[in-house]
Amino acid sequence: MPILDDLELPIKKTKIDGPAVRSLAARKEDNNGEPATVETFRASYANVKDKVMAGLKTIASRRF
Amino acid sequence: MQERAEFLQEIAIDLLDKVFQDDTIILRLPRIHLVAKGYFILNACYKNWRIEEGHYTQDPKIAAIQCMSIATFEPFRPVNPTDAKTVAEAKSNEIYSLACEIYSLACAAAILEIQIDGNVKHDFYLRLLDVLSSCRSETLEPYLVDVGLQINRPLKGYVGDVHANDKFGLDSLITIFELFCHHFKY
Repeated sequence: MPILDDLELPIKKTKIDGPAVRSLAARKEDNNGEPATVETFRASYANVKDKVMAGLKTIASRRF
Repeated sequence: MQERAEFLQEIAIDLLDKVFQDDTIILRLPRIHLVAKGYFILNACYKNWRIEEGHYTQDPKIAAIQCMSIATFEPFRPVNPTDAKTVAEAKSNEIYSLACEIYSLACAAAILEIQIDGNVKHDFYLRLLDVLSSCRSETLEPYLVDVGLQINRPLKGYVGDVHANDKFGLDSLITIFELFCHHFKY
């Protein structure tokens, strides 16, 4: 069983390298989807602006 | 890019009108264009890092990259930076980032509405503002330096790799915003 009774002092961050580390660092993510446009953003913003501004005002106006 | 800058400007002015109403916060309007340009540079760098050729940047990533650009160029500042008495004065750029998420995250409004109407989670928002405070893009540093020296170069010249120190911030923000989208989609 790979169990050590030793603390392996000093305790320090183990630097790990290898093909898995290098591949993970270089990985691409699945980003397939529709392109975002300012028009879409504008419509989304207009839809919710008043409620969000009211919410932000509640947060922002807290005084210390 | 001009269209995006104009839209970001509208949001900033809405904030001044509706949230920062007591003249304690200053908007440095020309910096909004820097935010839009910073977004362009950082998005292109991010694509080099994590996005397949031909794919588009998804909403949570747009929001995270936008936040990093806002944090770097700080279009707002308090009138009296050494005596901030409200959350608005202490966190004006972070609040602007939250407002800007609305357009890239259709869920953001739902979160704010739910939490505020339910009279809960002030701590959540203050913690989120703290997270945003800790973000600043080192990838954008060369562009920032050139702006300071009034050197004009094509933006494509700044597109390369995401700086190693930015990766944790970007991954963290993207994760937070993805959770927003999954849990609060309206």
